[in-house]
Amino acid sequence: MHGCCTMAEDSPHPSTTERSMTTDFSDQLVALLPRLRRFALTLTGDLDRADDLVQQGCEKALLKQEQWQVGTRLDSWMYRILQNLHIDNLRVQQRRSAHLHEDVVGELVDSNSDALPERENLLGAVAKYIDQLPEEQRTIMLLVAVEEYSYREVSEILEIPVGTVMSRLARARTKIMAMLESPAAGAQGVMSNA
Amino acid sequence: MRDDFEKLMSIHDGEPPEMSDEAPADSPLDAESLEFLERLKAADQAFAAEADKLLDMPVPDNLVATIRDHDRRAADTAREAAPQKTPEQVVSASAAGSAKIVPFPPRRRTVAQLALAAGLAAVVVTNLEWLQAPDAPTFNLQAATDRELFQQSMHRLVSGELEQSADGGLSVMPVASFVTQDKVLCREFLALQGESEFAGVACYSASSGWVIERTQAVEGSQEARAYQMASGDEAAATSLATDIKAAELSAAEEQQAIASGWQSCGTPACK
Repeated sequence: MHGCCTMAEDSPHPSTTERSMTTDFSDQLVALLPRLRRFALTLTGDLDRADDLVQQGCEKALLKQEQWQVGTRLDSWMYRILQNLHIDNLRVQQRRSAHLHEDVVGELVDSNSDALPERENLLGAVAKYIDQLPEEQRTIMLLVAVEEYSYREVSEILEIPVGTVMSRLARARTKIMAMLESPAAGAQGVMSNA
Repeated sequence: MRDDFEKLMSIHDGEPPEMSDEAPADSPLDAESLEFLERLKAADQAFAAEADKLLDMPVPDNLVATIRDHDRRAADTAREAAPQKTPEQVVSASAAGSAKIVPFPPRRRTVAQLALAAGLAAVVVTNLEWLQAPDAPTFNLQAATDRELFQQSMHRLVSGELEQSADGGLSVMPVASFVTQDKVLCREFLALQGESEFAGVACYSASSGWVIERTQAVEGSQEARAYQMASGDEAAATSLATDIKAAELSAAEEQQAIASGWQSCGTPACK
């Protein structure tokens, strides 16, 4: 499944080839866009915000492309950028919220929670299992069950311990199994764990 | 949740046994565990089927445009900084009004490296005697017109352009620009004077203009032609960096230095 987007170790780096390197990088980035959007969608739960996040991520990656190590995976690097931007966005959102409502002090807002009533549930329209999981679980499910990253790779992308990856993954699978076997029970499980 | 959930999950995901706190499964799994693995597989497949659908969503044009626009801007910047030239030929800047094509003089890496390796930190040499054989030709700028041509060439030509005197007796071509650790802007140049060829280094000062620090008569064959696109070749850059601890200017920085009359080059090293 994954394995896309590494550049050969011996790719030339001199200034005379910078242009082609830039183009190679951009081509790979364009090819990655569908997967970046999907990853961003699991982070935000909202298509518009996912696209905003991908745009932010691409702009940042293009500016910082010299920091990407040739020979390493571009998709992993981009996921890490999106994850960090997403956290930054949530912090900004939290600060704004706290500024507007001084009594609002809480954890970072989960975009899948009811804290964002204006959220359009576009994800739920096309992906009910994904939509029913909280962000922290669906992102890990995507990386492990779909993109076949190892637990350690996921822990590096999301910057969380491997044990946390495993426990969130176990909870996510438990819920999906419950939904598959009894949709009503699955939905209840989501409500109690979200 | 099963007690051995994470152990079975690790098996399912092909993770090494140490990823689970549970002891590795040495014995075959029982029927109940196998059935559980099947349920895990079904859960993953259900999730993956939905995830795959998300890939089918059309990518908005603005996302692609974000990336391609960046490409275009980068290409424009590169084009502005390094105007294209035809290798082996440059237009004589002195032949205003009737652009004159003159041959590009041969470039000899070894000579350039010798000249540069000697270092720039030494005393400024205003005339041109430098470790040459007694009978070696010397670079001679005694004529006022030649001095003026040299100063003009070093001051306003980008590396790789050649300027020739009206009588064809002197041609000067900067081949690389760099800044020393002492923040002095210098240029490596090649010159043709009569039948003799020279490689040298000159540095700029606001009070004295371009002062030649080193020259060396170039001897040898016509081999190793190496066209300088804008700011010198890699061998020169390596030599500059390793031997005299000078930083080569990029094409854009050189352009900026020329535009500023060699007062700055847009990099902190020049401030």
